[in-house]
Amino acid sequence: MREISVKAEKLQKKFGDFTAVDSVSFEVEKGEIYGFLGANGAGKTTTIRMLCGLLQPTSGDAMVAGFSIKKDPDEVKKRLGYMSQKFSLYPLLTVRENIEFYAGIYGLTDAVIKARIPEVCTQVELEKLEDKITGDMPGGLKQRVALACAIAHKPAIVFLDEPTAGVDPILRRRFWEIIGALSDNGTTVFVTTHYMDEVEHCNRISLMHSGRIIKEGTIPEIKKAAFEKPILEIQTDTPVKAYDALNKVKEFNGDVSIHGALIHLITGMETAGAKALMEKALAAGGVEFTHPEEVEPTMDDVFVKLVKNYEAK
Amino acid sequence: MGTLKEFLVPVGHMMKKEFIEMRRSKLVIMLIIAPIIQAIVFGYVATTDITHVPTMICDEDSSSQSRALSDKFLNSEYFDIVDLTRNPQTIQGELGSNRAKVCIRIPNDFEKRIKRGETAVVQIIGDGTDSNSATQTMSRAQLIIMAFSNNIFADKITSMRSVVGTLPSVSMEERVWYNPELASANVMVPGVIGLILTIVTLVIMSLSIVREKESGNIEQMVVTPITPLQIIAGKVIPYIAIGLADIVLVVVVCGLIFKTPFVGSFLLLMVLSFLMIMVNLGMGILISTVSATQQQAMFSSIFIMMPNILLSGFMFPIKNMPVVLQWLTYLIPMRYYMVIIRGIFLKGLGFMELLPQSAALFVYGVIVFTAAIRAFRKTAG
Ligand SMILES: Nc1ncnc2c1ncn2[C@@H]1O[C@H](COP(=O)(O)OP(=O)(O)OP(=O)(O)O)[C@@H](O)[C@H]1O
Ligand SMILES: [Mg+2]
Repeated sequence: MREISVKAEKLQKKFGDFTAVDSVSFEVEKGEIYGFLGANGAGKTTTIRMLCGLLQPTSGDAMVAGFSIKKDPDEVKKRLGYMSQKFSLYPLLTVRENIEFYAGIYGLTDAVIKARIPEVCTQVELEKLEDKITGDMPGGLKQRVALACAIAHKPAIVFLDEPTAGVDPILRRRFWEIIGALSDNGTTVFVTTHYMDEVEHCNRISLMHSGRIIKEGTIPEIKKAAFEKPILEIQTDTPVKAYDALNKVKEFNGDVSIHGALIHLITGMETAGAKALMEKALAAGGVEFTHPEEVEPTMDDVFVKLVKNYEAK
Repeated sequence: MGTLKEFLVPVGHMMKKEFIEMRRSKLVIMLIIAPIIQAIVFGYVATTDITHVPTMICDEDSSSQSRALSDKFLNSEYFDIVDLTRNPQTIQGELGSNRAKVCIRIPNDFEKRIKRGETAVVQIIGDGTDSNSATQTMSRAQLIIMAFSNNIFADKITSMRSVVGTLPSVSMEERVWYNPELASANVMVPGVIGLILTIVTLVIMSLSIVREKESGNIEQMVVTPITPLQIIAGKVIPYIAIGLADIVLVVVVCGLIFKTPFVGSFLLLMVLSFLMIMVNLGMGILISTVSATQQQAMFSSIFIMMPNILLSGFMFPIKNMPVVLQWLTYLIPMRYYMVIIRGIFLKGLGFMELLPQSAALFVYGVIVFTAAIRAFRKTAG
């Protein structure tokens, strides 16, 4: 049976006249990695802050770990871990002291804390660094210390708000592996990000745009919803010229976009016909190109497309 | 079940963290060394300006009586005679150029009047630009002149004894109560404790909470089951401890260096200082709830501290202030603490004598602290 870990129902948050989060509803299963994807100001942090009890929703409610955030915020607090956008560590304290502090204010006894520290340090791969001063560590390691602090009391759900912001790509990858292991052990992970490539690590995602969820589902589902038709890609040294040439062709009735040296063409036509038409148009425009092929849409494509669709409505 | 232990364990972890931070950030040096330095500086500033005051004597009389009076000043360690003249025209120049701070002017009929049994007048002309030390210098000069006048009176009585028989005599003994040497260090040094307490508690407290707000640590705590009351307890207790420790330090240091007497009950000083600390910490928390940055908190703290220094009687006696300001001083918690601390230090006053001040501080503390907890609940709730 599916066990629901987070269930938001028409959550809404207004700051004065401004609606930061507008009636969002979603469900997260136990042990899932659930991603919230959206541009700056979309309302991701505001949603997380409501779920963690830092903000009172203007209307709507959510069940977190089986308790209402409105009626039983204290029960909810015991069961969640939260890693804010700022990491919020004490830079003068060592790794051990930071973990001890956060575990301690959750009310864990000294004996439990003592046993737990090596455990979490192994989990987040901080072995042998326990006695380092946190402020002297690089960002990627601070991020792990913050995670260790958030999970020291073994919460059922962890909320991670842009955990990988400003962390270098290799450490980011390692971090996602740690998150994966966490979810394999049954912890629900609710994570926000605006790195499009990172959502591949999520089981399911929500796309957020100006306070609303405009699409929710697994990644293949969302890609499918955005692009029924395939995407054609070429590589060229003169992308602007190629862009102009393709835009002239009315029959495509689609969208051309530049991604560095790559051009993506999205069209309503079926693949073979579109490909022929594309090569003809480029030749006519005098554009030299290589690697014409059909590609999977990137999350960037998907996001842009869905936002466009949404705003067209 | 909310047992006491469940309440205290998180508080203990907060305190432990606070002490580790204090130690590693070297704040502890500031909290221990700075008060000692301040006490010493204030003590010296207070004592040096009242001895060896450059003084001119304008003796227009040049009689044996006037010379006798001049000698009294010459022999006093409080006055350094820089000029002895007969010409009153030079007074203005000497005082104006700051060569002398005070002038003792003996008029040319001084001896004549004494012999005739009339009142002889001596002028003391002080430099009012530094009114505090001027007042002290003038009262010192007054003491000398009064002693001189008493001697003349006593001589007269003795010479008349054969005629009128023994007279009941009232001997006047010069005595300034509570602070016999008139050493203002003795008044200042206890006052310094009040100042230091305010810095350590009000300023450092507000900065420390705002820093945690800025860094998001308060927010991080709010998502845990810890309550605002526990957070406040964990932040406040270490500073109460530091505040009380600073009092011990300053009392000991000043006792050693300035021989400041301590005649009252040390325990009473600690208990009543605790009230003052609570008022300050409450203010500190209030400031932290309305400040978004440490800079704002710093400005607000100074804004609160100024009246506490200026209107508390720490530097300027309250009874010399304009009436409106005198009324205002009742709103200043430090005013009550100054009475308490000087009373215990110099007069050995007990709890019953300090009851009005203690009650005022207590009420103040309850109001400020309740408001602080409420405000903190709102911002961190
Ligand atoms: N306390 C507040 N008062 C007023 N407006 C706010 C407040 N908090 C957030 N907002 C506004 O709500 C909107 C959503 O903000 P939110 O922080 O949730 O976005 P986000 O998706 O987390 O963005 P980012 O990627 O920048 O973190 C923004 O326009 C923001 O300015
Ligand atoms: Mg955010």
